[in-house]
Amino acid sequence: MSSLFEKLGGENSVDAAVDIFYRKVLQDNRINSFFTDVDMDEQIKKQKAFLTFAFGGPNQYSGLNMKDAHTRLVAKGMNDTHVDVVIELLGGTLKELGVGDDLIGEVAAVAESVRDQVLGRAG
Amino acid sequence: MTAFTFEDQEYQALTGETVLDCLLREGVSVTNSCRNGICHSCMLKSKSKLNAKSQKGLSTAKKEAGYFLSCQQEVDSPLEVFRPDTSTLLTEGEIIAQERISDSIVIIKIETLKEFPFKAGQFLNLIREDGLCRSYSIASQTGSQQLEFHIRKVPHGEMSSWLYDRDLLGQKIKLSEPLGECSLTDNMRDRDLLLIGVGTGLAPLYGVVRDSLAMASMGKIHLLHGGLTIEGLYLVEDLKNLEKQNATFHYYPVFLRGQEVEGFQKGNIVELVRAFEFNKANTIVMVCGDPQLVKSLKQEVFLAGVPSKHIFSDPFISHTANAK
Repeated sequence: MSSLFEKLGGENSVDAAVDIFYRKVLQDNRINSFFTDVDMDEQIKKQKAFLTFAFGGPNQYSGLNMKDAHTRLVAKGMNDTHVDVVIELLGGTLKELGVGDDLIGEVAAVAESVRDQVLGRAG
Repeated sequence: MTAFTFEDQEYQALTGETVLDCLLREGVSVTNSCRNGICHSCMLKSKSKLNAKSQKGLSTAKKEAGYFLSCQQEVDSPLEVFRPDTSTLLTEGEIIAQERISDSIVIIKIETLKEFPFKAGQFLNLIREDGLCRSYSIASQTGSQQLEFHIRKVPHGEMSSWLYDRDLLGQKIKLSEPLGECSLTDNMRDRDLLLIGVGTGLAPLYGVVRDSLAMASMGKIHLLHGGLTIEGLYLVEDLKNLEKQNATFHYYPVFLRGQEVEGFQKGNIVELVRAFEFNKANTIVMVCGDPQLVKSLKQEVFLAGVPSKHIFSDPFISHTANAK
């Protein structure tokens, strides 16, 4: 039984997805104000780590650093609706890459699992 | 507070303080410049466990030898820190030419006393005899014996004023190892280049342009040079001549303020880049100069469809903006 990460194509899938995903994020008026002023190279690295995590791949993400990493954004007003947009754009990215709805659902569920940490509601 | 030692003397760092900040607060002289982990001038040495951030961008050999960037290392555990032996890290040079080409830009040429390998597009730190240190881009072609620098005199800029105002022929100066990502590599062959320089951000690209023309198999080379006013544009005649001699090279001088002038474009460089037509999938983009503009320009070309791994940059972070 192969893992979600393997089914998606492993690291290559992350590399393929990161530019598409980050472009969507920067162009989406609902959330781009959180991102436009941040250095692109740093952002690409963070988005890669996030995608690797959401794709069920090996990651160094713990609940705690998820929370810490987003404290600044929560202070700027980030809430559930913004997390919804990110999960929507993640789905859109995978669709563009030809991933099926069932796998997209699995990825969304992984991303969903850290919603409370990201929004600072759980340790 | 956490204690650490520097040259066997103990210091108490405040919460969240970096090794560099603490030493400077205590009045210890440590060479430093950008305080952003980019220029590497504040490099120190330690055998203690370091964080990954303070060794980011260092060569494997340097990491293993315990070098780290003191501006990026918070004192969160006891560290034993030493000064590295600068004679192994720095190269002696001498200023052999100094040409003021406008009321704010001076071109300096330096010859090193021993061989100094670098690639066009890289930057290094110039270190004055009293230890004052600033990063500048090399404007020479790969393989040159002389190193050329384009230096803009910054208001209250200690190093740039010295380099502009004083007559410095024969002056000894030290150079650090060259660094940076805006250089041609073999895997860029057959691709087009879009080079965008703002102000003296032209310097690294001036070397890259000539390197790429020497590299037979490069595609089209587009160089956009932006200045606030037309006076901020320099080497215009040189670049126009280079354009005449090379069918693959296209030069676009751009300025923001002032009257229209024939042979120049007037406008905002970010908007010009947005409208610029080029092959997004097959172009390597390099952006150099003012950090805020570099950030916007990178985002602009990325959104236009250039893959992130094809975008390279060299933001000129000014020392005065970071000094506390």
